Amino acid sequence: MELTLSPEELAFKAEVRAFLQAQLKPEWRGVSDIDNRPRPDIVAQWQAALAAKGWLTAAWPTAHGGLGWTPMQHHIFKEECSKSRAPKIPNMAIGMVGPLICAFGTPAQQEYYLPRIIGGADIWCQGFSEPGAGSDLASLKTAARRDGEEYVVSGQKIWTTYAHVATKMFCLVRSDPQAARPQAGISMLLIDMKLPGITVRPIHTIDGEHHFNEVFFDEVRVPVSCRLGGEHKGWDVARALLAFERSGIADVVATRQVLHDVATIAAAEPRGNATLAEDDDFANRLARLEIALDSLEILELRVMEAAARGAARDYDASILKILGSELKQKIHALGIEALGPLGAVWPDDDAPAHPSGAGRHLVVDALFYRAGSIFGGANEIQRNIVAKSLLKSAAEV
Amino acid sequence: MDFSFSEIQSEFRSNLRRFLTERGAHSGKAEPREMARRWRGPLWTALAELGTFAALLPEAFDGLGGDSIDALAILDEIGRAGASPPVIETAVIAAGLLDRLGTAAQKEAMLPAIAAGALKFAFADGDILAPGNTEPSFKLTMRDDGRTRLEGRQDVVAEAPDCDHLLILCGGPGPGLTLFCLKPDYPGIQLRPFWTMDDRPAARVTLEGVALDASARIGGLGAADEAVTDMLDLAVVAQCAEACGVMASLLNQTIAHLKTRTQFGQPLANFQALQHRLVDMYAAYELSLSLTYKAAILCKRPGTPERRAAVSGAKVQAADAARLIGHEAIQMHGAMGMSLELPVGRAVKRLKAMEPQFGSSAYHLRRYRALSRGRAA
Repeated sequence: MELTLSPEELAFKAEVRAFLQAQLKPEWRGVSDIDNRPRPDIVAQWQAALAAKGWLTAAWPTAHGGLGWTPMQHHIFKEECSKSRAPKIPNMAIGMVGPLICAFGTPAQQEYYLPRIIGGADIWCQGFSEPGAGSDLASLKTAARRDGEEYVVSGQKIWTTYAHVATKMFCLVRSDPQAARPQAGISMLLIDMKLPGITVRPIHTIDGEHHFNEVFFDEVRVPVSCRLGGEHKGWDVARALLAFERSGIADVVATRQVLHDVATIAAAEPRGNATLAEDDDFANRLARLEIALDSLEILELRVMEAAARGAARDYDASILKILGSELKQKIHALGIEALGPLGAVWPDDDAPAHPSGAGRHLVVDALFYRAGSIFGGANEIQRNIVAKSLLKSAAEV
Repeated sequence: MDFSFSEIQSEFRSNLRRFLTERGAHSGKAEPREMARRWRGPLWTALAELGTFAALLPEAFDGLGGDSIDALAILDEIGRAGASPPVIETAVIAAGLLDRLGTAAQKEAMLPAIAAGALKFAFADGDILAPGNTEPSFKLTMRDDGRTRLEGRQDVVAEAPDCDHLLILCGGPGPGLTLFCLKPDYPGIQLRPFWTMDDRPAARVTLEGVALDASARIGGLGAADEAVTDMLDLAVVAQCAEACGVMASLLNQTIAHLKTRTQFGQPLANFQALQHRLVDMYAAYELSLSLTYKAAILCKRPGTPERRAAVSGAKVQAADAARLIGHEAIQMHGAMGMSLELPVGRAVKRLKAMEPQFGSSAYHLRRYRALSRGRAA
C-alpha cells in the first residue's frame, strides 16, 4: 500500500500544472465556481485551448481522439483543473453525447457531429426526464412515430438544463409503444433545437436562476438519419452513459473549497470575545465534516486504483455520488448556519454581505445544490443500485 | 497509488483467516469468557506459531520486520473473526515501545519472547489521552533516599489481570513522560480485576509507594513522549483496522439475515426501507476503511502533522461508523439481534468497548482540529 504517485504520474501532474499555468488566463479562473451558470464565451476559449493540446477528448475512444489515460491520469487532470478553478467543460457535449456518438454513431454521424462537439459549435442539452418519467425513466412517453425517412416527435421533456441556449438535444423517445417491455420501445434522437414545433419554456428554481426548462414537441419532424444507435435500442445507448465516468463524481476538490469558505466565514463571525471558529460545538461539527471529506478523498482514489486493476465494482460510482452529494449539502447547510442572520439574506448587490467575503454565493449555491442529490440519478435510485448489488452478490464485504 | 496487499501479506492473511475460522472464533459454543482465556492461553501460542507476532517485530529479534500495513491486515482479520487475542497491547504497543526505547539487554530479553508468544503485556497509560488530561495519573517522585517511587491509579487497564509485564507510563518529577516495565505482582502494585463488556480481562491498577530502580525503566527519564505518541498512533490504526473487520462481519451477517429471513411472505431484502439503510451502513464502512488505509500508509513513516491528522480522523470516522453499523445491525436482526447466542451482539459490544481506548472520539476530534489543514482559523 502506498499513497504516492508513480514517477510517470508525477510527471503527468507536472505537465498538467505547467499547462494550466501557461494557458489558463487569470480572468477565466473561478467562472464555474457557482454551479451551473454557464459562461459560454469563456468556456469556448478554454475548450479550444484544451482541444489544441488534445486533452479535451482524452476520455474518448482512441480512434476518435482519446488518449487512453489511466483512471489515475483522469483523476489527476480533473483534480488539477479543479484546484486551479478552471472553467468547467460542458459535460453534456464532451462527457456524454460525444462518447455516445463515438460508440453508437454511424460514420456519417461521427464525421458531422464530432468535430462540431470538439470545436464547441453546439451547446447540447439532454432530453431524458418527462413530467411522468423521472426516476422511472423507462416510462417516458414522448412519441416518435415513423413516417418514411422521418420521425414525427410529439410530447414533453422537463428539467432540461440549458435547453434555452442549446442548439442540439440528445433525446430519448418512445418509438415503439407496443413493445413488450417499456425499455424495449425507446430510441435516441439527436434533435436540432431550431426545428419547427419545438417550444422551450423556462423553469425558475429556488436559487433564483434559470437552468431548467420545459421543452414541448408538437409534430416535430426529425430525419431518421439523426437516430443514434438502432431503432428501439435507445435504452442501451442511454445505459452506456453509466459506464463512461467514474472519476470526479465525488467532487472532493470543489467540496473542500466550500469547506474552506465555511471555515473562513466562521473565523470572521464574532461570538462574544472570540469567533465562531473557536466555538467548540461548531468546530467539532466542521471537523467531523472535514474528516468525512478526507475519507471520501481516499475512497475516490481507491475506486480509481481498483478500476486501473480491473477490479471496479458496478456500484462504485453510485457510492461516490451518494456520499459526495450528501456531504457537500451538509457543508453548505453548516455554512448557512455560520452566516447567522445573513444566512437569510438574498445576496442582491445592495444587500449586506458577510465581512469574510466568503458568504456571497453560499446561499444560492446551497439552494442550487439541493439538486445535487436529485440529478444524475436521484440518490434513492443510487441506493437501489447499491442495495441490489450487495444483496444479490455472493461475495462478502 | 496502491491500496492492495503484497503477495506475502495476502498469503499470510488467508492463512490467518483459515486459522481463525477453523479454531472457531465465534463458531464455537464456548462461553465468551472461556474463549477469552483460550485466546490468552493455547490459542495465543498457536497464533505465535503462525507468525502473527513475528510479522510485526524487527528482524534483529526473530521478527519479520513488518509495518503498519501488516498490523492492519492482521487486526482486520481478527476483527472479522470476532476473536479476542490482545495483539495490540503486546505486539504493537509493547513491542514498539521496547524496540524504540529499550536497552539492548531489555530488547534481547523481551522481543524474541514476544515473537515466540511467551509474553503478554498490558499498557497502563495513566489515562494520558482522556479529554482534559495533560499528564498521566501515575506520578514519579524522588525520595530522600535517592530512589524513585511510583504512585497513582488508573481505573481501567485492559489485559492487566492476565499480563506477564505491565508497562506503566508516568509523569514527573521533571518534564516529559517516563516508561516503566514491571511484573504485575511487584510490591506496591494492586490489581482489582474485572471484565469489560466485550468479555476481556481488565483491572484497576493502583500503585502505592512502588520503589523502583533503573533496570525497570524503559528509556531515559522524561524521554518517552515521542515514542509513546507514535506507538499510540499505530495502536489507533490497528484498532481502526480491527473495527473495520468487525464492521465487515456485521455487514455480512446483516446481508445474510436480510436474504434469508422471511416476513409478509417475502425476504426482508425486498423491503426498500431496509435496503437503503443497508447502503448507508455499507457507505459508512467504506469511508472508515478508506481513512484507516490512509492512516496506516502514513504510519509507515515518522510522525508528521498529516499522519497525526489522518490517525485521529480515522478514529473519529471509525467510532461514528461503528455506532451506525452496530446499532443498525441489531435493529435489522430484530429481537434476534438482542440474543447473546448470535455473534451480532458480541460484535457490537466489541465495537463499543473499543471506543474509549487509545483516546476517545472526543480526544481525537480535538487533536484533529488542532492539526486540520482545511480550516482558515
